Amino acid sequence: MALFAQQTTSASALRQASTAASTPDAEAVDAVPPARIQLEAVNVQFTTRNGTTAALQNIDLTVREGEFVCLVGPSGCGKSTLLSVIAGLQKANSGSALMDGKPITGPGPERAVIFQEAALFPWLTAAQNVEFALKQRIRNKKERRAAAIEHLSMVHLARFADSYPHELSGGMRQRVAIARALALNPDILLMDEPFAALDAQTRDLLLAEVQRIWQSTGKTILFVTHNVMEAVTLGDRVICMGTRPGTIKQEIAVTLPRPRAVEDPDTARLAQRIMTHLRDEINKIAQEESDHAATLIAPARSGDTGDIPDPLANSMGDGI
Amino acid sequence: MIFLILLLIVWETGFRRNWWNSYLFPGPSEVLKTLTADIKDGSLLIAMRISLLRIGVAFGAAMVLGTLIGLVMGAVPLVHRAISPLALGLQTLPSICWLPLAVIWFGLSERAILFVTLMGALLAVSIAVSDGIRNIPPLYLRAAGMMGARGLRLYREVMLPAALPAILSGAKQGWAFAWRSLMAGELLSVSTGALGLGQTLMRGRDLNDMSEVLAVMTVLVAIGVIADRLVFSRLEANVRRRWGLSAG
Ligand SMILES: Nc1ncnc2c1ncn2[C@@H]1O[C@H](COP(=O)(O)OP(=O)(O)OP(=O)(O)O)[C@@H](O)[C@H]1O
Ligand SMILES: [Mg+2]
Repeated sequence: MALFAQQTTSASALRQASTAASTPDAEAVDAVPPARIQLEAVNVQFTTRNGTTAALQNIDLTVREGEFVCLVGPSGCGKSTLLSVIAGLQKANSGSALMDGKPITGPGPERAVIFQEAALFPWLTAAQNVEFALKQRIRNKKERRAAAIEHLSMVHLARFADSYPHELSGGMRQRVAIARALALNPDILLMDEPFAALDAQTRDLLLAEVQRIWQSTGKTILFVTHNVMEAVTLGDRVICMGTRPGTIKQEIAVTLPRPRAVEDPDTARLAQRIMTHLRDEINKIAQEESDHAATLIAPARSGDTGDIPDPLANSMGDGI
Repeated sequence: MIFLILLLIVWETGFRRNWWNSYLFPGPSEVLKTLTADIKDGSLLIAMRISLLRIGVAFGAAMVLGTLIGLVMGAVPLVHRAISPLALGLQTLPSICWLPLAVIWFGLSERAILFVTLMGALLAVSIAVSDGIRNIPPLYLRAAGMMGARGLRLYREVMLPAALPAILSGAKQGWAFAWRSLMAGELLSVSTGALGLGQTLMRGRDLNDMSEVLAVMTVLVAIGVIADRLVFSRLEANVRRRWGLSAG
């Protein structure tokens, strides 16, 4: 039995998109859902006093209606940058970024972002934070409050509606952030390592929660992580990125049945396969970093060598 | 506290035993007597009311103006670059130095005193607000942008509350400056209208009533401590805790 299919071009991934709806009916095979996000030849460079970094090079990516796409890659490969381009928080230097065929010019409520740290407003309670997102849609105060509580109960936090963020745990805050994002009624959820700062148990719980929300709401989700297990557990497609320059290395369609759990052996086996591919990429960075460190240290008896990053410090080992 | 009581005892003993000219530096019991007498005949309360009213008006105006100036300075980089050197420079100027100017503009009047007091707080508040705005975590602004908060709503519902801890510490500093400026202003314009605490202090000197001078000084310290400890520090601590800026 084929647990997964592997493609190296993004175009062939489109054929797999029909499985995204998690309804393997024969009639649905031909009905490819419409593209929501289309990136074509996107380049992003950052110029600092240390030179120019090609954060993204020639990125082509299509995300279709209702798809759950995961983006994995080593630290610094441009995952956050890619997400920011789609969110409208970062301009591409060249190439085109379209949402529903229209150029993305700035952030908007149809593309809700969930950041690594819950970006809740500390001066508002959990419910008020969610209400903030509802303000433009619901004018009536009472209705707004009721809708906020409803969204909080989707993440099982209705009981904490009147708690301030500093009174909640990290996992609870991240759940409020999810409720707030859902309250925007976005077409697309963009999640940037939302659970990276949480302990493993909380994270597994929230992974299950995100799958449940995705299945019940049918939202399109783009999920960034450096944890391959997480990606395989969640995604219809896993997109592996390489670093310097940030490019898409390969795409893997995941056709394992849902709901998936991190501890499923099939999930683990597929993750292992992807890890092997990514390891080359990590080794490449490690080599680069140590070469770079050598050039820094050798001539620099003068003292200031700058900080030398540990190339493996933020690698993808967590999940395995 | 114990040290304070000890100090009072030494002070009183020294006064009773005539270690120094008791007329030039009366003991705590004398000061207390004057204080209660002043409170009873109402003169001290009136002076307090006048001074507090003055600082209320001037400090209130400084808060409103300073917050507006600070908001613009914080939000528009060009304005910040243009104004901030000037503001920082003027802040080093003791605000009583505005008195001559104020007297020329307004005459030796109530308005001159208010102006000096206002100038004492204005720059501290503006600078604190603008720094507060500039140091808002970008994450908050990005989240706000994503939720479609723009223009006035962005200012009122995100930037102001996000900068509130900085604004409060600016207010605290501004209050201290304003209080000093008010006293300086009152000391230097005894002849002006209503008698505030500073003018009462000066009148005590004119009448060589040292226990009156010390009584007013005691009141000044008390007001300072109450404002700082009970109002500003407490507010600041509450806000910082809620904003997640301090543990506990
Ligand atoms: N504002 C910026 N200015 C300069 N360089 C930047 C900026 N943002 C990102 N970069 C560079 O772009 C590259 C990609 O950064 P990005 O944050 O997208 O990586 P990432 O894949 O999200 O990494 P991580 O997994 O550590 O979050 C990095 O090499 C980084 O140094
Ligand atoms: Mg990142």
